[in-house]
Amino acid sequence: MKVRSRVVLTTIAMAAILPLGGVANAAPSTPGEEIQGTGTDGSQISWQIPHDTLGERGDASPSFDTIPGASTSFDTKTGPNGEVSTTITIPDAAAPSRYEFPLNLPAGFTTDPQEDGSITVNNAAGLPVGSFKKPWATDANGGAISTSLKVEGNSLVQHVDFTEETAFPVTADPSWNWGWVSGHVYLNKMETAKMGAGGGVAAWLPNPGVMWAGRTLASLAAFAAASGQCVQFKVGFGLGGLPLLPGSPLPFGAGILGVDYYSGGYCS
Amino acid sequence: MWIMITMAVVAVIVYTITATTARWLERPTTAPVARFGGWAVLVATLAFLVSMASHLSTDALLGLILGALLAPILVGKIWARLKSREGDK
Repeated sequence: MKVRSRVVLTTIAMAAILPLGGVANAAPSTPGEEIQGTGTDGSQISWQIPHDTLGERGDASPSFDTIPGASTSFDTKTGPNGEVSTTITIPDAAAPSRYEFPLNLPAGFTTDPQEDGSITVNNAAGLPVGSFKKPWATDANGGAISTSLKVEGNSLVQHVDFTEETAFPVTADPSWNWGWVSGHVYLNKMETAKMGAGGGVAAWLPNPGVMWAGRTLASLAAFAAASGQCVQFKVGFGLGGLPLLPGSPLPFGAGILGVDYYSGGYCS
Repeated sequence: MWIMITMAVVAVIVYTITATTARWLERPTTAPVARFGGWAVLVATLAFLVSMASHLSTDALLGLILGALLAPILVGKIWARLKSREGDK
């Protein structure tokens, strides 16, 4: 029985290190179109793809169509885990360096810029429901370009600091990530710490299953704390209790499908 | 570093107290009411300590987790040693 419990918990520990999924499905990508995101509390958050008048370079407002056949383009994708990512492709140095995405938040919702460059969205109760991740931008050679994401008025604004010497096209990406509804549970630093201490105490219990589960949770939290990150779980349902409990007598079961670490956003 | 060691020692002490209390509560002579009440107090105390632990610094937390994971092994070995010595006498 002891051996069986250890095998099951080793399976949990192994499943725990599976990476989380990526972005997959196509979504609105035409200037002016609205993109929908869902918050952890089910709230709907939307923002628009910028159109010509919402792009700027210095004091000028250049068109996205800078040279024939090479306009600034947007490619929005939604992932199986709820991520919504819009890749901006900037064709040349004459294109705008400032991209304004008009933001539509439900009443009472607020934005909270984080030190790492991400922007957390809080609901009317002040609880975080999702986050615009730290933006990135790269040149044609894959080199990182300085970029920032800010909230200006009712818009989300991404600045991309390219120059005439930058290798084009430049790609940049503001993306939205959310939690529980998409099957993710994000813990902040305090919750990760509680998980670590709680896991340590659970490891004191004489039941081998609880003991190993406690040890696993405590170890995950310890690594997250040591590296200044937080823990995120991907949860889901599976037939036969898969993939965590093969041979489970239950027809289906919920379980942790993966564990990963993250920083920024809710991890504060 | 010292805070890590200190917190690890604290975790071992807390484990020893907890394990001793649990043994005492599980004695056949302990009345069911005392057993139930004792466990309730013990669990509430541990939950409070876990809640406090979330406010610790990273080093202190790491020490606490490390101590919590090592405590059952360490204390178990010490108890086994003491028991075998008692048997020798």
